[in-house]
Amino acid sequence: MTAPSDPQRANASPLDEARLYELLEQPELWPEDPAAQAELADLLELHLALTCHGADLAAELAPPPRARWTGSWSLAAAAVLLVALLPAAFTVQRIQSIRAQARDTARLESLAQKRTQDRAWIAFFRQSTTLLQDFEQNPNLCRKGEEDRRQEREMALTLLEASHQLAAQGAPLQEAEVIRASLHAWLSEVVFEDNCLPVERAQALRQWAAAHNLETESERMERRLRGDGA
Amino acid sequence: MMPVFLLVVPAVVEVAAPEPALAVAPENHAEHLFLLGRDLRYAQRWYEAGQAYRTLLREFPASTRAADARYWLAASLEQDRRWDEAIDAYTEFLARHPDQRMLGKEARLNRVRCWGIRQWDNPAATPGLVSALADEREEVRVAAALQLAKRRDSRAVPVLQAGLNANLSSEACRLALLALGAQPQATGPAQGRFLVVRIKERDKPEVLTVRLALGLARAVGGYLSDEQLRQAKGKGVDLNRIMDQALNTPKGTELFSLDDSKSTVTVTVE
Repeated sequence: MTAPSDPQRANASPLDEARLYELLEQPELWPEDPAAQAELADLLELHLALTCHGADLAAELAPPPRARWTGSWSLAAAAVLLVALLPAAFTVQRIQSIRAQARDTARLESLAQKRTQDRAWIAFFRQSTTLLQDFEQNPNLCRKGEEDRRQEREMALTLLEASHQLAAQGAPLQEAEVIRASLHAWLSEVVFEDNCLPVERAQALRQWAAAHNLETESERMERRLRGDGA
Repeated sequence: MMPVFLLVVPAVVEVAAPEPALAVAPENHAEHLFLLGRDLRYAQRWYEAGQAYRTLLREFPASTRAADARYWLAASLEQDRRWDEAIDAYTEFLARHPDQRMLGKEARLNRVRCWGIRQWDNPAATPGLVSALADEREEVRVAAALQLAKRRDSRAVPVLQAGLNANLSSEACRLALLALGAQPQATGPAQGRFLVVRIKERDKPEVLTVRLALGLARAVGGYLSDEQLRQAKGKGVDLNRIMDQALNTPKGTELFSLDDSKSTVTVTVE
């Protein structure tokens, strides 16, 4: 291919470059001169090659865009981070912290309620054990053949009221309710007896308590609840 | 040791009419049946005890033991876990012997318990509990409300709120109200003051804060471990009198601070 700047070509052909490009589009107007035709053919070949690869060449030859940091995606991301994500992250962290506190508070409330319930039951079983033990002791006599059980009867009355309430409240363990019901029956008997109790009646009440292991069961349940609820 | 005569109980209980040997005097016979019923109760032979009382009431309805027999018949049925029969028997006792003060109170409370057990199955039980909410005795009203609270029945709330002021039942009422999702609201001189319980658990960064109306000061104990309760006792802190103490203390005063291996609990008046 002849270079366009070839002086020989410029001299040999009167056709200027504009005329040459115009002729490329109209082959029927090409001159008869073989040299001119050869030059036009070369030019046509070059033209076609440029048309075919022009876009790629243009892209490669184009100057790189000026690197403006203010226009880059990283800045946009940074801005989003600052304006939206950081406060959002802070809010999420705060919400998580509040949720964790609410969970912990609910756990403590639940523990406090369980402790309160268990302690009421523990106190009932402990006081029942004490009463049963007191009932085993030899008391003062009202008169011959009658035991003075005034104090035990008062205690039984208090425990009976507590027992009603515990029954209404509900038991932490099914077994605790069974033992409470058993103690309740015995407490009722003591409460509805007289303060001065015939010796044989007192003996019968002791036998009742012994036959149902009331003291042992009461102690065991107290220990169990204390272990579970401490 | 079982009394010897209990060995012949069925023969005695099942007789349709008094035997000649027992029919010496009606009141003696009635007394004999009453004592028999008691001995059978002591032997936990509830069904037979009930039969003895039924016999007494059938044969000697005017006996001086009739009121006691009716009560113990109901109690024997309750112990025998025949709840519906026990409810009817307590109701009959209360209707026939409204003058029985002590047994009457016990019968009302026992009937509430039976209703409470049957409130999921017997359609008459819940109306019974609701009627007991208007009982003249506070302990009966509170017991009925506590039973209804087990079914999350909001009709219990007013009685439970009132029960917060009762010494014996305040904590039970508070717990029941919380279970119902209602805020306990104690009335009285402590209104407008709060106890602030701050709990710092060793393994947690945050201090947790719980505010309690002063009228509910008894609830503070629940936030303390057994070890902290022992410490409180050692320091002379009386948790039963904490409300009185807080009433007479300027706002902002720290009442106490207690430690154990897991947490520090500080209580202040606000």
